[in-house]
Amino acid sequence: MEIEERKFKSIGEIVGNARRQLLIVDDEEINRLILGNIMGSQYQIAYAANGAEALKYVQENYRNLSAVLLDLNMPKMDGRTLLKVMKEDQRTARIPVLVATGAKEEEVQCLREGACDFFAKPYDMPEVIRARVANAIKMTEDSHFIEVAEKDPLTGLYVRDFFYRYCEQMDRKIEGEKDAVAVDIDHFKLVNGLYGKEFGDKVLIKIAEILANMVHQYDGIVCRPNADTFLIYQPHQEDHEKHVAYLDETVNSLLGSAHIHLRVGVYECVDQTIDVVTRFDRARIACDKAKDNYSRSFEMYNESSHRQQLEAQKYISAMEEALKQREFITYYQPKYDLTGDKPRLAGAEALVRWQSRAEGGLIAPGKFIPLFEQNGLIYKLDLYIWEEVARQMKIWKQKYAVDFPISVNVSRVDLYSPHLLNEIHGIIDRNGLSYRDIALEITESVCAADTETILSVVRNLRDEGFRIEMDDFGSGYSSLNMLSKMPINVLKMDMKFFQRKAGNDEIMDAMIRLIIDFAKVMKVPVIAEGVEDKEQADYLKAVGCDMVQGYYFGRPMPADEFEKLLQQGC
Amino acid sequence: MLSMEALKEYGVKTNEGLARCCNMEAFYFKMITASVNDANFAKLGKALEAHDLQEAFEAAHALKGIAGNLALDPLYDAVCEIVEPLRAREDKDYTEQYKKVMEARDKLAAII
Repeated sequence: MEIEERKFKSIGEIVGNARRQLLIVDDEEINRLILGNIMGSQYQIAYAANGAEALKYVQENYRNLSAVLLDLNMPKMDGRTLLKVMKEDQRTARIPVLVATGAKEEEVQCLREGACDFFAKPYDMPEVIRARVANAIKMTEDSHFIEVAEKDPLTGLYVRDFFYRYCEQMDRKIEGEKDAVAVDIDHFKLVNGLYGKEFGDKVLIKIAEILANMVHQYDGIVCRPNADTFLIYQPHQEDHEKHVAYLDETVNSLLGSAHIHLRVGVYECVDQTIDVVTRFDRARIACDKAKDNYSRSFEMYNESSHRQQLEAQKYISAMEEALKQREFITYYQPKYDLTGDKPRLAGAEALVRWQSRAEGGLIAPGKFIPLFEQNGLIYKLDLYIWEEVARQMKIWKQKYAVDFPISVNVSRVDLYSPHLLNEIHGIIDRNGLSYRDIALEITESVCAADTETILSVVRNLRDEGFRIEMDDFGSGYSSLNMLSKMPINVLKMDMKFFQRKAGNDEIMDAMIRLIIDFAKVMKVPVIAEGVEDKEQADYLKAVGCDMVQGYYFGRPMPADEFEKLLQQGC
Repeated sequence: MLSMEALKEYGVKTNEGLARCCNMEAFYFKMITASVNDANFAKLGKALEAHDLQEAFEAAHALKGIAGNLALDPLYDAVCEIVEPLRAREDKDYTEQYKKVMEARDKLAAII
């Protein structure tokens, strides 16, 4: 640390142009004075008459000393011995030493022993000596600046940019497969918060030490690119899981009670044709994946999950623009009433489709809806669709006196929004509709799994007059008791959950009958969706199912096609 | 009184010596004056008398350095003749060589 201080002073000196200090060591006073006279205009000069005196001075003043000009032949410790002692001491090793020599053979010898340059005796021209001294100082300071800049001051590990450069060097120097590894401390902010920053720093220093020792064995290198992340580049290792376990154990045995959890992502046998930064991005992707998984603290990067992630990111970032460009289109799937002699058009479910210009076609809802549900973007998309449906409904009501509701999907995220009721009211009011015109489809799993908060929101919506349809009934886990308390108006069962296979016909039939009977008790109608053939349709009608929806009756279709159905009045 | 002419006449390459003193004449003269009284002349004499070749070499080497830097060629040449055998630790009679060194010194002292 003291050395750092000295060198930082040097940086200050360069900026401030203060005079650097030189030590001139010669047993002969006249020579000292001549040299002092040469250098004195640019430097602060200190003198020593022999090696012992010089060493004392150097040890006391190493922080501020920029260079030593040394005569070799002296009593009481000669120049060579002084040079040797200085180079062995870490504090003084960095100070450049220039040797005054009268013989060629001495020159090489001194350079080998750690002198950074020499000048001739009798002295060269003063300008020559000054230039040599200035060069030596500059070189030492520059290389030290590089060293300061390439190392993280807390842990002494490389910083990112230099690390990446050394990785490239390693590719050239060491043949064969390499691994890129990212190590991350789980909830490091919490560690800092709980135990204080000082402890946090201690953790970082310890981990750095352990990692440095570990990778050293495999000729690897390690850096700390930011707060609690470490990156490693090393020749390929087989047993990463073992290394991770060792790392975890060593870190925790050294740090005592505070349990530190490390997450490790490995991009094995990196593609050495891609740039280094990307290789470590991949290691980090694996590391992030490890974060989501509490049972494993280490993950390997794999190409297909990476592609998925890239695709997900692409959709997420394209969504806002797609909304603006009106790329989301509402399709309508008709619902039919089976209670009469022949099926009668009695509703529709609005479904979203993404007509992406960037992708040059439709993106399947299964690809983007789960993503938007995860990150909450679904709320925006749902509002957009509801508005579209309401606008369309207004037109159809005016043109065809439509008297059934069109249902829209409501996601779990929507129900948590404090503005949900206001937004829906706004949509209804803006389009001159009544609450009966829009039905809300909420999946069973949302209703059943969630708390009273969700239920009370749903209850409010129902009390406002909206028809609540419980979607995907049979796929969740609600108990009969819970069902009886749920504020719903319609049960929708998806036929894909009741697929009849050889041997289970009876059970499936019984379940469907059970649901229908149950709905009757609750006095709510049942809609069967996913009805794909006539057999299913006939069966459902026979067992008393009220309504159906499915490819057999009508696919999800654009508004203009659905409008044709309205025109035909069927 | 020391002058450039007198030094040149004595055999000093004054331009070289003066250049090493950054062309500061007064400083150059001061160094030359100091050199004449340098303790190494006496140290060399004593060491040779005592056959202390190491000490003798150190003293002669120091004198060579000074004479070289100040471009005092006659002194430098005389010292060189004694430094090299001493460097090889030749134990021989150095009376003649030492005499030459002292003569060169005395001549210089005379023009100061």
